[in-house]
Amino acid sequence: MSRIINQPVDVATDPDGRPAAFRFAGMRERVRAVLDAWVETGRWWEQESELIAYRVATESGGLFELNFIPRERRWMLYKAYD
Amino acid sequence: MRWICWVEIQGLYAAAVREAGLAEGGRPIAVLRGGRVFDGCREAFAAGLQLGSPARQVLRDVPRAALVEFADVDAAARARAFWDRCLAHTPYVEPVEPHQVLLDLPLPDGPDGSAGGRAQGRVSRRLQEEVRALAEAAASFGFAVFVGVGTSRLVARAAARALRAEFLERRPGTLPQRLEAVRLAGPRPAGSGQTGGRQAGVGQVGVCQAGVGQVGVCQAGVGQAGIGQAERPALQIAIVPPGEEARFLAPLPIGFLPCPPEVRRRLRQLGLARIGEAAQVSEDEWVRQLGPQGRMVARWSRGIDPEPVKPAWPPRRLARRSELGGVRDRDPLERELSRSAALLAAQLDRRGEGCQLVGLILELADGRVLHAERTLPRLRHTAYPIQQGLHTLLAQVLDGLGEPPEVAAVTAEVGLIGPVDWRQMELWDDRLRRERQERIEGALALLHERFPARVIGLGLRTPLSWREQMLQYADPYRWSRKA
Repeated sequence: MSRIINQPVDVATDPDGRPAAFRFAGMRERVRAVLDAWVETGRWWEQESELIAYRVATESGGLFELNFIPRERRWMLYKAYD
Repeated sequence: MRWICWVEIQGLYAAAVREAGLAEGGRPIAVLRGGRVFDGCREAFAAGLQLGSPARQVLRDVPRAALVEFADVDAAARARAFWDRCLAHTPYVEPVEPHQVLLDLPLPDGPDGSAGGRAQGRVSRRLQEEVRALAEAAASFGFAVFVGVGTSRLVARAAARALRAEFLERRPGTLPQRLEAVRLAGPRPAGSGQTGGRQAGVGQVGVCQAGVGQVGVCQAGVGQAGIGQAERPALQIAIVPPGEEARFLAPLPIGFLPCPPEVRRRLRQLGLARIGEAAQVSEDEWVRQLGPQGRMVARWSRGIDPEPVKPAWPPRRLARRSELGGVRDRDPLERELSRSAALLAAQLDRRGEGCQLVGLILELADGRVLHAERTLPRLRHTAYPIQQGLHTLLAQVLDGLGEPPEVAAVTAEVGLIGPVDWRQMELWDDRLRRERQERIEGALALLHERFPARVIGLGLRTPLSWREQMLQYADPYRWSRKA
């Protein structure tokens, strides 16, 4: 099961630009591992931005999907897995 | 009105065996399929041959019998001759197996060929005459003919099968099946037109009024009419009047429904023995028990089978001939074949049909005609596979000739034409969504019943984003490249 959050989030990145930590619900979550990463083109025919999706595991045991939108230089916490 | 007719010939394979000289003269013949009796000659059945019995039992029942494997029998020529005879009665001829054929007889409704007879639930005299003539035509290919007639394929097949079971499979001491249908029996001698009699089948005459709502069963069993005694073939005909299908099917075994094996197994587990028992269960309950196939079982058990008879005999072909006036190059030939493939595919597409056979005829300037065919793995209705098939055939033919010949005309043809199954994925079907909604409503109703004082309802529904919808259909990796 998963829950869609889809809210802007502050993310600290590592030198490669991958998420290292983020703040969610007042808690700072440190990324233990980036499990997967991929690029989605989105609905480009409707001028939707491309995004880079990261599925990360945090040190607190959570599993999240973070999206980075390069054109707008912002991060979104898209989904939290139960 | 359209009457669907299932004709089954018993003894067709045995006659083919006799004709091919596979059995010594005079010995009774039993044809085995999968190790069990599938067909036999009149003498074998008269001696006690039982359909479906294993080979070792045949040797006990009919010690002198010649056992022939089904694979060794070539009954195609006899079957084709029979199907050709059927074309004299209707253009809708759908062969099922060499000994079985489905026909669609377009006849007026009324008892004398006039309109209006359908409402009375009666069978017109013209239909009776037509069916009898058909049965007589089939009789020269075997020793017994079973003809079931009804308003659907299912009913016609069930009627013929019931007749066959009664005629050939009846075990000693059991009662004949009670068939609620108009029964005709026996070839009609000149001048006879009597009706209303109850009589034994083989070699006798007349219309047995064992109609629905009346009574009666024709006694045409093996023991009485006597397969061995009769010289003339037995004609067994049952006509189910319109509107009486469910009543006719009700007492028949549930195995008469054309269900796939897993459904048949489930029906057995449910303890259902007769079609009438299945008809008492609601369609919704059948869907709950068997999924989408439950809907078919519910309809079949009520005698509803909308599937039409496909005009599959003689096999249809579509062809396009192009005169080229003598070309030697392969390119113009391939271009012409591509054009033909596109036109033939468009014709098939318009009719909702596909082809499984591609043929090429090359007419050379020196008068030679070269012909090649290729069978496709499945029905195709688009231009590309037809074009590929034609190009492959062209390459084969030309490579076989060595020197490039001068081609005067080229014909592209497609055969083995049948309706294309247009079933689409569930993406277009809202059945799952409807079923989900029904389940939710059912659950809410139960909760309301259990907690009457509470306010229970569905929460706000958040519309799914486009991305989530896409994720439900396919995994994201297919649509994206790795970061």
